[in-house]
Amino acid sequence: MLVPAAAGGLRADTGPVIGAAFGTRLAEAQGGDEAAFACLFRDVQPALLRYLRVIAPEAADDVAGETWLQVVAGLAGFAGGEEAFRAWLFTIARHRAIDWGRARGRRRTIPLAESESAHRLAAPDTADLALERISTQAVLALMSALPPDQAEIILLRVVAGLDTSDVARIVGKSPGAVRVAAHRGLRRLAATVDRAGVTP
Amino acid sequence: MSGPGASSSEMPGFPCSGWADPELDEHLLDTILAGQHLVPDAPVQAHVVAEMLASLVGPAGPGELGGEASARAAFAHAASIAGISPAARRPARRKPSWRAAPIKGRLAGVLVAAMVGLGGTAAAYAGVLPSPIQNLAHHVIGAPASHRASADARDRRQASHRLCLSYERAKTHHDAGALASAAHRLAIVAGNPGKIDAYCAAVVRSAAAAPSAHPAGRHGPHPGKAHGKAKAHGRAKAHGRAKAHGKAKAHGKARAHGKAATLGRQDAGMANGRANQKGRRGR
Repeated sequence: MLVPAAAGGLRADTGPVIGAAFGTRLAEAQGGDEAAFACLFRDVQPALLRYLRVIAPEAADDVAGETWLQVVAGLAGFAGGEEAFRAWLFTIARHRAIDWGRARGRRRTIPLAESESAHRLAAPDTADLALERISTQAVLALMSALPPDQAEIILLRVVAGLDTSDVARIVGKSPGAVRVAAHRGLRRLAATVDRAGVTP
Repeated sequence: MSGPGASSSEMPGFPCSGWADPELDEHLLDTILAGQHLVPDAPVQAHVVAEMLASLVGPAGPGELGGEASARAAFAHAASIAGISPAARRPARRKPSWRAAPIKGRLAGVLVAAMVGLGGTAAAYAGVLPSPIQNLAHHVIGAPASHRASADARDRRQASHRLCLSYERAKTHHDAGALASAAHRLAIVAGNPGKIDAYCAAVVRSAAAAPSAHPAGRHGPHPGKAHGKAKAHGRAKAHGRAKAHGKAKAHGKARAHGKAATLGRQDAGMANGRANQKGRRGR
């Protein structure tokens, strides 16, 4: 269900979730408090995995693991708020996913086109969309059918909860280009929905 | 209808006959991206896309926190090396999981490799996608149809029932926002806005008559849905709850497998990464 946030938003679990307590949790984690670190982990891990399931579909868990190890290693030197933390973490994740993609390119003997066609499997069922029964996994599969840059940008905006300028820095594009790519991706999703029979 | 939307030539992946560009202007798209409320008279596509995105940020699902133990172990280890943690004074505590993880990870890795080897990514998706998605995939691109229709129909029946109840509740309490939202959805499920009342009456009757009847939903009151499939009944108040249904009832087996593999993979990821970290530190 769409949970109206205090600020009037629809998102339930995105953006700064820990909120005001983030600074305290971070300081505790930096001081070696494992429970505080677990709090940071739980805050971001679902978003991280959802992002990686689209951009590194065969290695999401591995890449997430490597990401957290790098976060653990660099945590003491991190300074910033919750959004900056997420931006930092997703930057690391993106780099590790790119590494994975390169390594896969070197190792792979099966043509890449195979996985691309697999990604085109998903499209949502109209009635399920209407009934809000569409699952996170199903939408992720649908996102995988978008052009990769559009999917990634939408995921960073929505799942990671980052603003346009953070996303622009992470993907190395201008904020304008990020906005255009996100719009194109959303229009494709809408067109899929439209084709599936949802017309006013 | 022609909006500022992407042109059909931009969508090589989708056959383009028979659909119109949704009229989604940039302001509307920014509103969706920001997760803000849409005005009730925004195009249905906008509402649906907003809901899809909202489902991406729902609470953690099964397996999504499965890497926590490994992450905590890595954290405790790093903290103990830095000498900043109580863990520094009891380093032995974590050792078993450090040794166990790679073995578990390797096993899970083999399972995943076998799965991928057998059917590629498509098989992995087929195991985790809810059957309605498979069904539409079947409709759209000719992928195999789901064989889980009856459990799924039951889910839908319950979801439709809940949606009708919230629609009635919104009417009773004069909650315009909730009413518009429920009416939008019901119009889609029922076929058109004029059929909502008849649809809900049938849904409520059906729910009262067969509270836990098996696949009643398949023959439920669904007037002429687009694909000629069973589109039954219900409403999902909470994404989380609806998802839990789908997983537990329709896909329990596949999910359980997927979850085990996922957990293992997370451990494997941690283990691999840990080895890398150690290597880096050693250099």
